[in-house]
Amino acid sequence: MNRRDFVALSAGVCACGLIHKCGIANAQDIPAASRSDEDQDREEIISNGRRCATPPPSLYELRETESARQAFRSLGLQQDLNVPVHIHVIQKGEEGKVADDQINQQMTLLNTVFLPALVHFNLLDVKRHDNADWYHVGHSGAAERKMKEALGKDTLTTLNIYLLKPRNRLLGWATFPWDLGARPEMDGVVVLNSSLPGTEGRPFNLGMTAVHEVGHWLGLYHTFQGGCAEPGDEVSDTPYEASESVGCPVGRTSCPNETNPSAVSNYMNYSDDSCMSEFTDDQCARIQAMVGVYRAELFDVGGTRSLSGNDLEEVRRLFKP
Amino acid sequence: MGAAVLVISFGANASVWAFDNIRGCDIVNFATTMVHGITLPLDAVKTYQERVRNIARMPVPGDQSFAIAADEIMRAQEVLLGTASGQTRLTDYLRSDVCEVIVELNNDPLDDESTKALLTTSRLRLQDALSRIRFGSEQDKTLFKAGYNCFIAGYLFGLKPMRQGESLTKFGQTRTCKELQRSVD
Repeated sequence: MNRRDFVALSAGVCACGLIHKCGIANAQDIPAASRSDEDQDREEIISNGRRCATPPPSLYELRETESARQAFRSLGLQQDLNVPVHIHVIQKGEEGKVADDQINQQMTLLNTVFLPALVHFNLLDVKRHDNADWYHVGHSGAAERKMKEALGKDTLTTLNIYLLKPRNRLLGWATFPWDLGARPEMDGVVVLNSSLPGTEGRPFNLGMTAVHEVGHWLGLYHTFQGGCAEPGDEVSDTPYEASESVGCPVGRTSCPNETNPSAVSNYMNYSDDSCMSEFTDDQCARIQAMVGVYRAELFDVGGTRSLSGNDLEEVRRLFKP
Repeated sequence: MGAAVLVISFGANASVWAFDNIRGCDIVNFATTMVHGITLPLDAVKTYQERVRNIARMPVPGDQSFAIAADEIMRAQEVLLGTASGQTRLTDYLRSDVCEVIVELNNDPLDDESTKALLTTSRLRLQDALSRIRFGSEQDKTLFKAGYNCFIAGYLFGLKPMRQGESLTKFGQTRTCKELQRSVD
């Protein structure tokens, strides 16, 4: 398959018509026996008012999420989102010198893949930095913080992408939209430089790591989040999945009560890049909802905003605690 | 008082969000077994244990002081490992079957509130990290989780002395560094 065919395939629209699994999000709705230790820890922290650990979204946040999605649907809000992008290429001398062409291919891919969610990316600039300490940053360590504090720009209204070679062979990571309030300086995505289209990092060198991480940045979870238990990834049309897909195991099922095959080709799984080709309808809706809740400023960027301030206020009012 | 002193001493530099130090397992390995000629001086181990116990005596920390406590523990672990003799043999150690890391922590009952809180926070932060990272293989994911588990093992080793001959398995299920292709960094 050549590059053009691949991009055409990737443009594959949001798939739909799978199953519905979302909806239960209140602590009291989840039977105690089926709750994991993690759920109970989370509840304990919430009930004690200690939100210090910032776990993946609290039960309150889960409620908020579902409410937001329903609110957007009821208001019929589907808006074009224009996301300005800063790219920071971190190099160690000549190592990590990503070509402009590869960056452009990555931007094209992002714009193609996120089109069904009405998200458009506009590359503002590419800055290159020679810094050996930042070249191998680890997830959430001191070096990452220093790098982002020094380089990150306008995190409320733009996407910062850091291209480098992370410690521990990680392919990439992202902040979620709900992190923005507490730690705006950490906002953005970190992506392995050899994962961009046209690089050598097979089987993860077709640019899907950036797609996957930007998906997180816009509020999506892994399709296997939460395993076989509710609320899973909080998206109703991705089947439950006990664990990540590796390679391209088309037709895989992994949960006893899940008859639909796993979302192996979903961008938010761990399959090989060549296997990934879709977001679902509800993932697209969730992106709109998450941006409306946590990154509403993006609606104001680029001069194409069609959502009125009153509408945004209405959405916010709907899920106030 | 202990907590206040820590805030004054380390507050400005507190930067650790990830409770992640795979070398925490090396502390236990070096302290309990003679591995490739690498040893930790006894007085350095004692100093480390005193430091860790002081941190454990802090009141149950809040958000910012969790980061401070983790930062402090990590510094203590680095200082201790810096005293190890035979560091040049680290590569041999990493390639050997003696080098092990914890892939799953035991769920031991803990009586100390501070330690309980730290462990809970560490576990939640690991789950949070896993929800936002893309890994290239199961092996890479396991190695990443081991970083959190080893940080805790190094901390627990500081709290309670271990007998010679005891091993990392006291804290959980282990796998060899070789198997997980752990590298020097």
